[in-house]
Amino acid sequence: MTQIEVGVFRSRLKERQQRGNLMRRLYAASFGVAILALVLLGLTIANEAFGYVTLVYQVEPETLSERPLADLSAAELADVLVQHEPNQLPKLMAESVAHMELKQFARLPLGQSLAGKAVPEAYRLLAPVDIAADERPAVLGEILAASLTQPELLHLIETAILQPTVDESWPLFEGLLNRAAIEQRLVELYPNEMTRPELQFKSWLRLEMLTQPMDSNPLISGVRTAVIGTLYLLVIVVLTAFPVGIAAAIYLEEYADNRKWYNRIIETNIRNLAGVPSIIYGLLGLQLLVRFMGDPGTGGLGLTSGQAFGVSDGTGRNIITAGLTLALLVLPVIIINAQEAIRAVPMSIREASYGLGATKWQTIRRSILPSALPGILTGIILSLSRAVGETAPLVVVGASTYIVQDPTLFSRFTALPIQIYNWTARPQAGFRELAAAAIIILLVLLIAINAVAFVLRSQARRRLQA
Amino acid sequence: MVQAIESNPYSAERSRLLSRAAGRRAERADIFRHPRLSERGISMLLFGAGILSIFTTIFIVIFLGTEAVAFFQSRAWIQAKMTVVAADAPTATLRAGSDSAVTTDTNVLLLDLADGQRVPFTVGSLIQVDEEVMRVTERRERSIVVERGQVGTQAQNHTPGTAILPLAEAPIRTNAALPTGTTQISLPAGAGRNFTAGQTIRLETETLRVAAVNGDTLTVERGYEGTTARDHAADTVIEVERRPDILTYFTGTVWQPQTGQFGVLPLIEATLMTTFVAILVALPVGLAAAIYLSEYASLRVRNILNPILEILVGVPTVVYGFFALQFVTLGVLRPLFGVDIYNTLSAGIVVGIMVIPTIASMSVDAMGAVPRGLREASYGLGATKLETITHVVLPAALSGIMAAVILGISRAVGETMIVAIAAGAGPNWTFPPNFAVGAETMTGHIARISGGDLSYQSVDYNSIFSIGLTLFVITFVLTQISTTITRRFREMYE
Repeated sequence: MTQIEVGVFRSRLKERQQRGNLMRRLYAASFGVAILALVLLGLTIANEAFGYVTLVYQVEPETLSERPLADLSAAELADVLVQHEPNQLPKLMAESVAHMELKQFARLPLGQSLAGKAVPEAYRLLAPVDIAADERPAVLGEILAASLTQPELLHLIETAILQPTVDESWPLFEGLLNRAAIEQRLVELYPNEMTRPELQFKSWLRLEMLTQPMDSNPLISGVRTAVIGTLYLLVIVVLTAFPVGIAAAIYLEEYADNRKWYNRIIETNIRNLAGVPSIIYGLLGLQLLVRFMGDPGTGGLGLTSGQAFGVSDGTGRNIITAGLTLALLVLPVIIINAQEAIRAVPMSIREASYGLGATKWQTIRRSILPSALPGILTGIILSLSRAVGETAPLVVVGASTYIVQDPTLFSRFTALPIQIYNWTARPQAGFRELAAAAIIILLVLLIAINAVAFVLRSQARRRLQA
Repeated sequence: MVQAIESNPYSAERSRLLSRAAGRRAERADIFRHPRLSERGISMLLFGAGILSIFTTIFIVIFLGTEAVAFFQSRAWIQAKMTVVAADAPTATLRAGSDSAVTTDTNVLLLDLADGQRVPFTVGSLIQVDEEVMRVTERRERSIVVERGQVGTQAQNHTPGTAILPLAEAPIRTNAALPTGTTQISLPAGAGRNFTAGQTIRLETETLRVAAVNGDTLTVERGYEGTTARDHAADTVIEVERRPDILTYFTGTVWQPQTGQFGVLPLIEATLMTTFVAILVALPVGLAAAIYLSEYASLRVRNILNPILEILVGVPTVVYGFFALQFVTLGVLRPLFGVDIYNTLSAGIVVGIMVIPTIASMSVDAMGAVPRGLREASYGLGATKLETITHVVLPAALSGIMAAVILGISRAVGETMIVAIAAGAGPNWTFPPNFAVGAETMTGHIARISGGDLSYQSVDYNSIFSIGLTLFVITFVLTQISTTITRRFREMYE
């Protein structure tokens, strides 16, 4: 090599290495994009789930009591209700205590309609219509105070008397950074200080949401029915998809002869199913489970709509069909992950078991499954997480968006992701914020599932090592 | 010695077992038979579980197929329309002069307009010259471009100075009452050319078949398709059927099954648009992440970075949809570029973020499968790490990366909630594609139409299955290509 060539090589080398370092940083920066996306996602949710609002009340809370309502005892709160809404009391009680229609509640003896609640002995045999009109509110108020908790009564007062509505709302960061401008705007809009609504911090995420039913007012709407729906769906997925999925994985790994054409088809098919969009499963569920196995009124078998089991008003658009649809959806994921876990079990474990005279099934049950368990559990977490957040199939199968009564297996239902979708799409003030709060609940649920599975997995691993 | 053996507890057990094994045959057969029976049962049961997945596929194909067939056999009834000369709309005349004579193959009409007067016809509207009806396809300063011989008329020669009359559409009503026994329907003047022999029409609940068209009189078969003939008053609206066919399904640009417009292109276009944006985002980011993970990162760094991708996978798509609408659209794109609230750009970007882990993890696998020897040969020739990656590793892993991208496309095509929330709620054909306005994708359309109680007999119900089948075929083929490439690739280095 001549002197000049060496010189060129040297100078080029530096340039080449610099380019290498630059690209290396660029490649690493791609994770910056991913992290940035996650951070922005988190901030967006927080920005919406908390914020500032001005509220307008039907009745100002200060006029109800001298002390803040939250400090009042159950009896005092019941008293507030008796004083301000004496005529609404039977209706409120029918809905929130007796859980029945007002017409029915008014004619049934209190001892029957409020069985198990603290009804004074003297009124047990009387129906609300039988009690003298001037005496009725006091009696009902007394029962109300005894049968509902303080937070429940507070919620009742909010829905029945205060009826707060959002006048205007600002997301968290705007409220924090631009507070002065917002105050200024309020002063311009409401020159009279007496009627000017107060700008207050509002956490749309409330712990009580978990126990409160849905409401058309976003300020007091809970997610109880949606959470119950989601939990039901999880139970159905666990009960159906897991046994079938693990069984299929055992078959494919331990029994199936890969030279047989049908086994190869099963294997390829499962891999393809894992790539089918979830909405297609929704269409499958709609046609197979809702229509053909559902409502006999539209030509179905009545199996999933409950007519075969004596439920008369089922339509097939219920938790069972939705749960089974989700089960079909996650089945390939479970099978593929369980297969990998079983494949990873060393051959020596099998051979040791056979050497001791165990049959094939005994080997699988006592040796292979326990050692594959941590891996199988990982697959299960993955599929459960997917089932919890899956929305499209539920929409197609026919989830409802407004459910007040706790769902049963054959009734209409809703789930958390459905509510998030529905509330996000609503234009009225307050619903997007409510959607953000529901997202936080959904994410907490996801984290909880992952945490439980993590604990289970590490326990299974420890047991294996011991 | 003998005593020692006899006192050994194991030898007693052994002799007992020996005598049992040598002795009663029935018991011996027992050992072999009973476990075998339950073992067989268990293996059958497990086989059944494996077979179940096949049924899932079969059911998907059967149901989507039958409903899609039902869709192509379904029909929408729309009011029969005739064109009438719009009474109070402005007219124009063909310009005088020899250069403006119209023969049957002319398609530019020169207009006689006063200075400053604009062409009074809109694009897409119908005009009538003499007996011929034309459709305006383009407006120029003093002329219009037309399609000749529309609505059953023939192209004719026209002389300069002829009036050009704007046409409007009006529903066709029967001229006279139609008692049960009559087979002649008389129509308003000029309405006959809207019908052809063999066509099926509907009057109220009765379906009729047009046997012959004679000027403005239709000869019909009454009570067609199992309906019963009944009396109809004069002025009854006549409805004609519209059926989807494969050709209009894949070439039509308007999707409105209720009014008999069955072109799936707007939905496919929107899907392609979001997918395009998604891959534009996910390919560079996902590939760069994969290169970093596979070639640069130490095990420790990899253990920190992998969970980030896992979290991206774990976020429910409905949450991504919320993010697309609230942050990407309302927080960034709308203030900066003034896009619509619902647009395919924002949906595409967020679908891209969702697809990043898919592309990254599959590309990591592909690059990990490139043999060490190739890399070492490259270093041996004096290449830097970057040069090794771009000239050796990436080309060697190319097919695997392609498989990753194809799977990513398949994910993006099938993604529902992000596009349902952020991309828009109405089919919208834009050409050239406009990413700033809302358009409904195939998945978004299925989700919107099926939300709520859909009657099983409606055209809409059938249509979502035909869209679903289209979607299924697309994703199935993409997944299949991806797995085939991956398998080939693996064989190459084994």
